[in-house]
Amino acid sequence: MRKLVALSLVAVMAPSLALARGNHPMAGCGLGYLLLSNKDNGKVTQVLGATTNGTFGTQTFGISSGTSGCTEDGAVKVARAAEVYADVNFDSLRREMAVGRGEFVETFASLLGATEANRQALLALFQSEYAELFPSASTTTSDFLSVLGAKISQHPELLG
Amino acid sequence: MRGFLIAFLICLTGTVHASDDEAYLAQLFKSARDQRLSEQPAWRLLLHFHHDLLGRYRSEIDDPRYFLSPRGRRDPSAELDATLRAFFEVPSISTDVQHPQCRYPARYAWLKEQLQFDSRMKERPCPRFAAWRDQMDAESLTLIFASYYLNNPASMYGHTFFRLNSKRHGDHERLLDYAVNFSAYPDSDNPVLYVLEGLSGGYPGRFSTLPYYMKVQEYNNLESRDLWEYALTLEPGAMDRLVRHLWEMGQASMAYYFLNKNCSYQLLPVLEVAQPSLRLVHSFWFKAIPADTLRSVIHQPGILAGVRLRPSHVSKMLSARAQLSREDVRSAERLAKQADDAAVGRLDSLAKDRQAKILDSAYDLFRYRVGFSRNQSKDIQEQERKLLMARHRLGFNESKESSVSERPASPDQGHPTGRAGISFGASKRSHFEELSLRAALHDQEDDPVGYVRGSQLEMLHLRVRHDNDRRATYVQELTLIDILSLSSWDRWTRKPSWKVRTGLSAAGDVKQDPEDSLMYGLQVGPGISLRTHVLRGEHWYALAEADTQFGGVFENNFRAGAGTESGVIVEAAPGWHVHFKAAYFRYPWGNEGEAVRLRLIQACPLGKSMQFRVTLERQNRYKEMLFSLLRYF
Repeated sequence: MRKLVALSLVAVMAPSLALARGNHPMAGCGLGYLLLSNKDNGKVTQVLGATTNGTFGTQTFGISSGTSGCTEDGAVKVARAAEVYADVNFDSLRREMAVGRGEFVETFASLLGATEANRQALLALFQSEYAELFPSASTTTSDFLSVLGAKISQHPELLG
Repeated sequence: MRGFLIAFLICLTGTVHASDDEAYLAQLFKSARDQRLSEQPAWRLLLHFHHDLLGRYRSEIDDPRYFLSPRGRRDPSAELDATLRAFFEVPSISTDVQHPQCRYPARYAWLKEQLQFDSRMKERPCPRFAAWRDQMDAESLTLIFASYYLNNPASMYGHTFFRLNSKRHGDHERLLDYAVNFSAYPDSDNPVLYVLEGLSGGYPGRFSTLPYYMKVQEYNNLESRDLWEYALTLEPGAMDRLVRHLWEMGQASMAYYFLNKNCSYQLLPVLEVAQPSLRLVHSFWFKAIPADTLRSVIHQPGILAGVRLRPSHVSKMLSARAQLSREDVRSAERLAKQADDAAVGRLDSLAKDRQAKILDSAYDLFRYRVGFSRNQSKDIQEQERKLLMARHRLGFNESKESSVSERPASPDQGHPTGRAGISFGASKRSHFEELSLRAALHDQEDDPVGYVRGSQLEMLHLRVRHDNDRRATYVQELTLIDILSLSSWDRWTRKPSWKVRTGLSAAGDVKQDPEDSLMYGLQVGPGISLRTHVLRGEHWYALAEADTQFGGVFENNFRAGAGTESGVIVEAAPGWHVHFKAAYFRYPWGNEGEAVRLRLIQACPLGKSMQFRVTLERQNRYKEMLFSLLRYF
């Protein structure tokens, strides 16, 4: 997956985000919604669960299966990489950004284009702006990404 | 007239080109035959040619779209000719249709090298393959094992898939790499159909590539399973061959057979294409259990570069909890249950890093309880926010996250999955020998290293006895499935224990000779269990079960009832286990009666792949003693 330069991130996301405001569940690609509920932690009721090992997302990502939404032949479209990552890992990001530390948020910083030198500063920014990035309990990925894009454009020195 | 002449000249050029191609093609055919290319292992591997269970030599890929020749599935030579011919095709106008050179980049690369294509073979641009390959950016390969998950039949044996490690990503950015996964595409949610179709090849299976972070969310979080990452070192050129071949495989569907042609098996032929010196596929006929396919790969000399554990949410949660004082554990529990301002306020007097640890554990527990689904109620979302905001207000904390304190044994270290045994036994009235064979996998007395502690999963376990005194040979047991999942009770995980067992066995408690008391039974029930550490480790359990049995030995041909079973498994020394269990059952329906069953098993290891057991058993008035020698293979 390519690292992105922040400005292109903001530029690319702006139009789709304008359309996808608010709590629309299929905002963006909807790949985060593949994480739907029929897997429980340790509940016996799932004994005959109708889920096959690893079908989570596998049809969308079939190799050479063509283009659809945010995927292309089994890869996430480069321009949508940050959006898909944020959507799929949203809960992990929401947790780790509160603290400014953790594998998911650090990887996200890399994906956005932070170098070794300014990663810590970017993580600190995530933490200090947390309340604005996640203004409510029901903040969606697209809301988060548009605020993030705005914050980053105010601090271009943090990337690349 | 001039127009006609021009048209004629154009046609002539066209035909000249066409006949140029034909001439070169003929030359290539001849070269291929002289070099006997279609007989070479590399070509056979690319087509996934193997002897099937009926001894037929053909491709394992049953999708006709994968073959360019109608005889391609059975005839490697016809397929090779058709492939060469297809490489000369005129590209389609539609951008959706790939040129054969692009559909089969592995075949193209190999044939180009073997036949030394020159400029007479027009090399076509392959933008889709190039774009995907660039995204994969595969520099090295890691084989990943997702640990056993007993609550879903498809996951009981674990799962394996690949990760393509990209040059662009540092060691801490592995989440961004792509995973390669083979899985079935079931078209039904119906659990019965799902099982039947999965066993009989009713679903197609395909390869997909998806970001590793999606797999980490699925396994570590949603299913709370550990991920074991086995880094592999392959020969130069192997990664290129692998990636080219994976692209070819994208269009091939293969019938998915849960028992043998499953997710973990299909990684092997692909690996053999990448590195033909590997011989992996030949050991897997009737069954392909992920731990076995894993071992077959990593035991190849020089291939394993390292093993890393990516612990599940539950593992990390329990590890972090172990570092908290009792009082702090209680605080975390209270917060996880009800994260209100009062509860959070109570932490204010504590040191910041202590508060942080409590809040982190509270969040872990809260998350575990509500699950990782996106469908959460407003109330749950608000609770989560309270916890996260409280944690956030503590400020930036630079200390490193603590890792899992005690790393369990990796799954490749588990005993082999098959087991055969020979036993000698005696009861009050007779002496007998017994031969046993078990297809899979593990019982409570087998060495638990590399397996989930307290879990028992047996499938196809056959025991046949020969009674010396009555000169009778009979089936003592043919168990289809026997699962006993004992999860030690924990305040946080609260996992119940349970049992499902079905199959034929000799009803030991009735007053008939065992050769006349074969019945088909089904036992199901919930329970609880607890692990203690009084000595080296004891596992106590108690189950309530419903028991239904059918057989001619019973009055009315059946009996049904319920009872309880409890026991303890003690590890007396490394590998030496003692298991005592007692059960009481009452059968009010059918053949009325009751049964008291006691069993004491002692098992100790003999070298790396054998075990010796002594079993004392009593069922009502019947008593027997058995000495067994077991071998794992």
